[in-house]
Amino acid sequence: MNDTVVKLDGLIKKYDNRPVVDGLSLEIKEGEIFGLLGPNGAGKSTTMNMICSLLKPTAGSVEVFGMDIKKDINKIKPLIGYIPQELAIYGNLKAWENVELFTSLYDIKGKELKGAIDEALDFVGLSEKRNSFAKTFSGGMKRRLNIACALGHKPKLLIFDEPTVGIDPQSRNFILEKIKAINKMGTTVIYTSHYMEEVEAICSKVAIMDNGKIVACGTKDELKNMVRKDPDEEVSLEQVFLTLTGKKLRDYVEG
Amino acid sequence: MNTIWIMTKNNLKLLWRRKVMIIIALVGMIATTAAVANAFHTLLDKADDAQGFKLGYTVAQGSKYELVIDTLMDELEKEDIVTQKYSSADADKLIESGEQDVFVTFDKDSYSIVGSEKKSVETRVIQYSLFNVERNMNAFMSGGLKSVEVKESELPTTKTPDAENYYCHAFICCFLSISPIFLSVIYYEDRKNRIWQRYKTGKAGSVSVYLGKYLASFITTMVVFPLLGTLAFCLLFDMKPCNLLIYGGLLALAGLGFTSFGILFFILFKQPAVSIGSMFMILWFVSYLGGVYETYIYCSIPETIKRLSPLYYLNRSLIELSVNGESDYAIPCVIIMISMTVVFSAIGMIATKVKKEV
Repeated sequence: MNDTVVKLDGLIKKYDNRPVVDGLSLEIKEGEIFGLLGPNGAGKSTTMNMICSLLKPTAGSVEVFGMDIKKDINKIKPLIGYIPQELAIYGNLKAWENVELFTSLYDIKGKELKGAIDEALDFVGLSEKRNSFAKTFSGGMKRRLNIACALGHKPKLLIFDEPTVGIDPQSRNFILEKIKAINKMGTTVIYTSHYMEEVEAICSKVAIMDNGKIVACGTKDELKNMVRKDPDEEVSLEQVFLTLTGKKLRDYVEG
Repeated sequence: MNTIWIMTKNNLKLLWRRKVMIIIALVGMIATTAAVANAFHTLLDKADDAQGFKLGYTVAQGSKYELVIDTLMDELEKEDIVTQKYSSADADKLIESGEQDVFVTFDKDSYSIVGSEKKSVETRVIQYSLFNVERNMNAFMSGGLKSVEVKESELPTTKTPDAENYYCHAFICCFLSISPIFLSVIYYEDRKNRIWQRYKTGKAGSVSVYLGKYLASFITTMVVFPLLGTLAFCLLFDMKPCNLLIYGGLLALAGLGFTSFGILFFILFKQPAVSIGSMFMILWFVSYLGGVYETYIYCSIPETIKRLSPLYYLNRSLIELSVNGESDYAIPCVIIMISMTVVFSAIGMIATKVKKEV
């Protein structure tokens, strides 16, 4: 259970010579739910986009399951499931059609594909709504379908980019429980969110990023100890976050 | 193949679930055709008037045309063309004075035609008639024919389609060329919801993603315009397509060519509005040159410029095949459409691979 799933070494991404990710080195072990935190523009999404091959690094290396992303991208892709922050689903397709379309991108066909669709929809509690159009779903249901679309090919690494934005507490709780359940089945999870209580509830290890760099990385207790002045002092992850990244507003423009 | 099939199938569902868009396109095509055919009805009917005009001619002694001249003139008379033979005459003066509308000077081995500016259609009728006679004579000289015949059917050469038949063909070609516009709904959703991220992180290559959209667009185009459009035109306007196999084949090739051309705009430009705008601009010009608005028969644009438009070849092939049963433009049309498909598809696939968004 201690094999390295993701290894980033001296990772740099620059836009117009401006570093967005600046010499990032990080290891994520198998079976972890790894929380990636940071204020807006810290470089979290850019880092995740480089892990799942949406962006090419300016310098440094990305290894996933011991394979170099530049050389073995086709072997790595089926091992990763990416759940984007946006609801990347077609409103005019039914729930099962969305899962079918995105699962077929991994060359899964026939009975295996049908089974994968059923399993993914069942896992996110949408079996009964499989024949409904995605556009008729509530925000929470759309979020769950968004997740189901990345589960069909049974990835070993799941990357969640703020998967609970704009949904009610019940749906949020459901999603968090499901992430824990997936993790128990052996899937490694990378999770980003602005909701500290979510990260606190599910992550086994957390890294805090700011200005493209890791400012702290460790278990939740290790991070809390970094800012705890008194051994009996109650410290929340939010306090750790604000202490390490400051209280200054972070307005940033994409790109 | 499985991925391409599932992508095509789901893209087709996305396209056909926007029924309103497809109905508007179909109804729009029928309404435009009805309006334009009605407006240009008189102009195209001018071809029928071309039969009643005056033709003067001289024949040089020993001319090879002496062999057929009497039969030819008899046949032209049957077409209500008043012919008058001169022993010698100044063609330009006769035309200028209005004594004759068209004048032909038959020399020993060649002939020359002079026509009044106002009678360009009539001049072309004579030009085409003589072309057929010449062809017939050459075959006779080389032993290919036992006797020289002047067939009446070959005489009214610029056999012109009626306005309905012309514009039915022209607007099927025109709407077919802009049909990749249907894809805008898919590209819009792909970008708005950043669905392209799923395609990029998926194992399927850029070729599969491209073909999934390409085939869906092509199938939709073929069903909406060549199939439903032709059916509607045949029922409503008595359109007369040529041999259905050739008609369908040419339109299928055109569908492939224009789909690869249209998709490029969605790949190259981020905003669907910009893609649609630029595609429309280019295709409007191509349609204009191709005789969609002003018929290629009466269009004043020089032939060399008209030939820059792929729609000109398609339009003209289909219309000539429908009216005359043959067209010199059919083979070039096939070559152009295949070339368009190969070149634009290759660019589209490369651009899909290179671009950040698919």
